Amino acid sequence: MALKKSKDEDFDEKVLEASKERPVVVDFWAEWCMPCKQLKPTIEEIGKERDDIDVVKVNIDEADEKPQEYGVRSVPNVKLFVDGKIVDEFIGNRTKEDVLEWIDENI
Amino acid sequence: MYDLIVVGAGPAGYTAALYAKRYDLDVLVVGEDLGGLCNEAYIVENWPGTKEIEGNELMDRMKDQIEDLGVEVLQKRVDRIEGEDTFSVHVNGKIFETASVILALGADKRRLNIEGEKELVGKGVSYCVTCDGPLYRNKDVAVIGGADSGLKAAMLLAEYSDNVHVFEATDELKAEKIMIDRCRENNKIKLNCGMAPEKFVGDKFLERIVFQNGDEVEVDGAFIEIGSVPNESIKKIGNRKITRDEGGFIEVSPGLSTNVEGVFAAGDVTTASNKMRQIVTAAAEGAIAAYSAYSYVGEKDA
Repeated sequence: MALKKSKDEDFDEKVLEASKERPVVVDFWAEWCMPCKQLKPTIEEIGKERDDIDVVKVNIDEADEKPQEYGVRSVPNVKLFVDGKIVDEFIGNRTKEDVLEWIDENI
Repeated sequence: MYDLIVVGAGPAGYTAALYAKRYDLDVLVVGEDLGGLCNEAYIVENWPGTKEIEGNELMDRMKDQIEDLGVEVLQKRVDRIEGEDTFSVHVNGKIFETASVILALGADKRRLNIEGEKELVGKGVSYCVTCDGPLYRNKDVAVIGGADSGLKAAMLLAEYSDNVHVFEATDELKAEKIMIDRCRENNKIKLNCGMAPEKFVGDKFLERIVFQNGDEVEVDGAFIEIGSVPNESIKKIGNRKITRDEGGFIEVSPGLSTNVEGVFAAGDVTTASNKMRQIVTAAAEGAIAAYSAYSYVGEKDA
């Protein structure tokens, strides 16, 4: 089980620090966003199925600073952190196959 | 073997499945984007019988309705369709066999294709007001496009922002009069005609829009609402090309058959309904295509 939730307070620990151990996929999402709802099962399944990565969900209405700090201007915005840095990101809904392919291309 | 596979999960696809199932066809729906463009309509006021409803709520209801009837809806992309007499629909390594197909592929948001647009997507440039509008609370925003979708976008943005600029490239707004009046009465919305964008400028995030007439406007966000283009993800059935017009719309008969026998099309992707591209016309086309598929499958079995 590598599916987690994060807010501002524990973002550094769950994302930045954790990404030094293994890649971390961060899904910035919001309740009111339809593509976010569509992406949700995909992200959650990947989080549960893959034990080589962490998947962290950030509800942007429950976190102010980190979405700002990382330039989230569109949701869903999925960012891949490796060694404390963003290596790639995408915006909008994608199929599970496409998300897995994107992860594997970038880790 | 299915009787019918519907490719696409918007109003046309869902309605096609609804009718087909009620004709007792064995039907499967496969769509990459459940709900399609309709999801992004923050308010729908011209779906008869419903004074107002959110686009995604309407689409959820359509999906529920067919799932209650026992139709399976797969959220997957169709890679390709093979076959001549019957069809093999390839979905992520799996193959589904079917006697007929309805292409309800829908439309994608039209891009401006100007400098800075691609680079600043998600960094100020957006195609989805319902997704990203709330992120621009108290910021200055622009809507590019003065037709119905543009003015609806402006109305929604005015709930978050005091300065919503609408820029229409031509000399007049092309929206329903009721929408134009509402925007004129809203003092947060400024309507501008004859303003065609030339480029988006910004280092890390969008900073300003430069227009072809030389004007520049500083905004934090720009929402592009300049209509849609037919989805062209499926161009062929086997090696037979699906006939499309110069705009990419699938050419159909009044019964919504395409040039490939056994393959029908419905919704925003077709040349039908005067290309009006409304939820109600897409749904109507879904019903017609389902009836045509039903007739086709019945004749084949006979």
